[in-house]
Amino acid sequence: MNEAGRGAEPITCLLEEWGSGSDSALRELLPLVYDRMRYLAHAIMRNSPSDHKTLQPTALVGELYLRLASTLPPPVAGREHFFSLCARTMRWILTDHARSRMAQKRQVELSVASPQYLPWLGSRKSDTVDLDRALNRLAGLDPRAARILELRVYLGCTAAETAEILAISKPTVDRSLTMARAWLCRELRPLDRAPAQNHAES
Amino acid sequence: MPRADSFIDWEQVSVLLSEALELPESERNSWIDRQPAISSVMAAEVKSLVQAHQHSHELSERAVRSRAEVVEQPDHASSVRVGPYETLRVLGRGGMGVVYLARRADGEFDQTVALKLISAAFTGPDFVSRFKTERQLLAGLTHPNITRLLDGGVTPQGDPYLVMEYIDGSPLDRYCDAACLRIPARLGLFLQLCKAVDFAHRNLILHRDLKPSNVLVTGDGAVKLLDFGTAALIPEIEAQQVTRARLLTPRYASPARLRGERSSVCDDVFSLGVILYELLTGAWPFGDPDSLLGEFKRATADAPAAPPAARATSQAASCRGVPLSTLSRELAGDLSAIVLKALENDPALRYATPAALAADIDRYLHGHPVEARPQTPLYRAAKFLRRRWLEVSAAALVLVAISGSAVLAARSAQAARAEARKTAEVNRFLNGMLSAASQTNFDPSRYTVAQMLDEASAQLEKHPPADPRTAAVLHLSLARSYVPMARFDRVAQHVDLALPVFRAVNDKTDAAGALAVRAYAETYQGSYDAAVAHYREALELLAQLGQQAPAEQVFETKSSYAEVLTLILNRGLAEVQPVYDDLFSLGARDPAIPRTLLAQAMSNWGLELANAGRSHEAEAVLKNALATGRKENPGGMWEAVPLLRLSWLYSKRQDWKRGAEVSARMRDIAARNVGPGSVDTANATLIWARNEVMIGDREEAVRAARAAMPIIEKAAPAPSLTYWAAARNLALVLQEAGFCDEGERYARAALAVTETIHLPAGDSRPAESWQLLGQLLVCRGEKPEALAAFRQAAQIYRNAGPLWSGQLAEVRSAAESLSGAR
Repeated sequence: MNEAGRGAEPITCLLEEWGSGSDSALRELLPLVYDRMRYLAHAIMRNSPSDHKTLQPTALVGELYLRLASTLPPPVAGREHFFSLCARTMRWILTDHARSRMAQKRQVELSVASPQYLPWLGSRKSDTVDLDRALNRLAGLDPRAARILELRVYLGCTAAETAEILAISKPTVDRSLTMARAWLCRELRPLDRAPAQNHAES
Repeated sequence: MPRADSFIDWEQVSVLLSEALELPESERNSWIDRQPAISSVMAAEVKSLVQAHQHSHELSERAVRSRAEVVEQPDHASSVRVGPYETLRVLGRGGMGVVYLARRADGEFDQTVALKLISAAFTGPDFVSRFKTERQLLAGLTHPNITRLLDGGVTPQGDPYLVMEYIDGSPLDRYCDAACLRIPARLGLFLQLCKAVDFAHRNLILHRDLKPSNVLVTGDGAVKLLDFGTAALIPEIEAQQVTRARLLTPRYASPARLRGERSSVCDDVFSLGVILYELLTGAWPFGDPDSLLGEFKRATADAPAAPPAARATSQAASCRGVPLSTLSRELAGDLSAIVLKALENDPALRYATPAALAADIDRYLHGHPVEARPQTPLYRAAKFLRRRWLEVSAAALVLVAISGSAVLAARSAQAARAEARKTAEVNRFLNGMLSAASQTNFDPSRYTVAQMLDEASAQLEKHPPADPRTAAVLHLSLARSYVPMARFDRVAQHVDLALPVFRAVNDKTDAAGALAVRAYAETYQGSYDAAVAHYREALELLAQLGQQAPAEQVFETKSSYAEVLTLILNRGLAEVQPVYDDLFSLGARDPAIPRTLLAQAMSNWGLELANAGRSHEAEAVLKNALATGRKENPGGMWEAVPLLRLSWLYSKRQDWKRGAEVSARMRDIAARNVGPGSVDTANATLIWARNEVMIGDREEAVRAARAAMPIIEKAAPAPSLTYWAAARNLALVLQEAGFCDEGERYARAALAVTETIHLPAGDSRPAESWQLLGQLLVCRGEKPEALAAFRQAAQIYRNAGPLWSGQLAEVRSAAESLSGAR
């Protein structure tokens, strides 16, 4: 019955963390994704040519929280929803940031996440924004492939995780990823159509 | 360039592409051409993607190569001078810098050492000063199983470095596997590790990054723990920029650490548990260590470790010198109980210290019974319930499952007594869960929790447990759960079912509990006399138990009783003083009573003193309440109560400066504990604004107060007392800042609340609302209307008793000045 008294009971302490509704559930869930995102942001920044980082991981964390907190309908409708939303939000943040830097004609140091997966991405200023556009196009053709790529690229999910999140088989995810990656390369680094660009890049 | 994208079946493309890529490069195109029943557009698309795939591959290789070249560049040339040391070769590279084998360059000592050079890029502004104090602390850590910190400093370039004893050994896991050590030998090494960690803990140093690569075993089988130094030195770096992936090792981190909470002894125990698990089984206890979902589940304490025997493989067995069947048998039973206890997600269930873990292993090695007991069904049910809490809709089923296992437990003859205690625990737990949910997020119209409870009640009625006492415990539990939902009819119904049973079996503790629940509900319903009678009866029962009465229950019941007497019935100081004296001596005598609970009782007493006009005594008591509770839980949400009382006290004195200070603290406490967007934070913000507008930044006060109001309107819409208080504070802020029209709207909204909801007779809030409206009408220049409002206020204050004589005088003089002016 007594407010302050409850705080002392270990079981109840746990409960207060857990049970106090969607707000605190969100607070518990988010730090994990932040960590993942911070990691990704660092991976990106390490590859960036500039020493002047404008979007620090902490800022990214803050922005992600604000956006999620204002979007999330409590309680989050399942794991799939939560992760997809995080990936989508990360995509918005990174793309917005890159877009505003480009508009200010300044160095774009953030590109996309998951450099191990698409190591050739991020070498051009416009990559982040181009990737966003390409993903929109892909979503028009094969929405599932676009979602898979989004989880992979912006949240760093493995193929097995993506399969678990979207409740589809891992071979399906693998096939979709292979296709989406080739498709993306053709969109963003066309081989035969503009060979000159390839030289400019390296 | 246009493509016939929209006519393409992408599912089929992805299948064809994957199949084509299985083939040797030269055969792919012809294979695609041979595929029957695909259009030429489709074939062209697949071929184009095959080509794009190859291109992507080439681009990737090129990118990875160029990056690797950058990474491989050495940080320093072959030999570097670091302070008085000269590096010999690189021993390893970590997240923060490089470890060298080094020796004194000045020849003062002939000793090779390990020198860890930390890149200045990873350090914050205070790092160097912190580094120096920590270094002194760590240098005192002398134990045969801990590598000694010998020296340390900062290079002229600003890079800090640490010099440690150099150990020629191999990491614990590799050492065990290379020597094919059997389980007892592995446990022997692990015991040395536990002792080292325990020694550090007793010197108040946590390791925080325990992992096999930080534990070296020397040629003669001695365990040496590395890196106490750096792990302790990095907290602010962690916060700043280096990612967890590079510094912390999530593989060995406890759920709390994964959540980024402050480290404690329990976290090191957990890490030791993971190390032990790996030493025993060769596998990681939580599935795939690289999985994001796995990490997510672990941090939310939703990932129980797999039983070690289940993870043993024949390869692991041969590495441990025994057949698989022997290893599985060894790993089941006591050893499994030990390692799983160290890996409990709930720190309260883990071994409290590394020494306790070591003692149990020692018992196991000597064939004594271990303390880690196998888990009972009921205990598992509680864990299940905790894991599933987020899925609220499923919780109704869970509750039924709980009553099921409670019955089971009660029937099992051997477990009767111990299980009864656990039943109570489960129920307390369930209560906590429900009341915690309803505090912050309570919406009576939303179905989840309420419906779940109704469902549980119905189930309990339909399938009552055979044992009446079990049924009574569940009824009491449901009664408690209905309280925060304001379903007092249900509370009474369940208490009525439980209480006679407790009386019949002469269970005074639970009978007193049931009476207290009923009294609590009655307080809310306005049946104060009944509430007082029931609290007294409960206290009487507890008094009969004497020393056997649970101290916390006694304290809590007495405390609630005192609350009714003071906060609601406004009984005089003389009547309540003995109750509070009792509470304080109980609190002083019994350290088991939570200090925060004691602090709350002190806060109520402080308020009582303030009401009696003993303002300075009250201030001292409230400050003492803060000091008392902070010993147990500094910065916890409990602080809001004494701070609220203090802010009230200061506002009565019109000491706006102190009022702003304490309410700002209250706001920060709420923001940290329940979030910046919570009702509590919004309330505290409004109180702060009320003070700040008088003495400080007027614009900021108005801005903050306006921003806080929508949160209140959403979470506690009118008519509610929360809304009343918020609207009143906002109106006062607006009045002070000269926004009289806007302020009047909120003053009227506050008044409307007091006219809509049921308040106890003699409640002062209608009067306060009229007074407020009068002030805003004055502010707007509506004098006749203001006069009428002040007269309304005066009339109610007059009936509210002597406590409000100050206010009465205030509105009278306001009314007089108005009628004089007219």
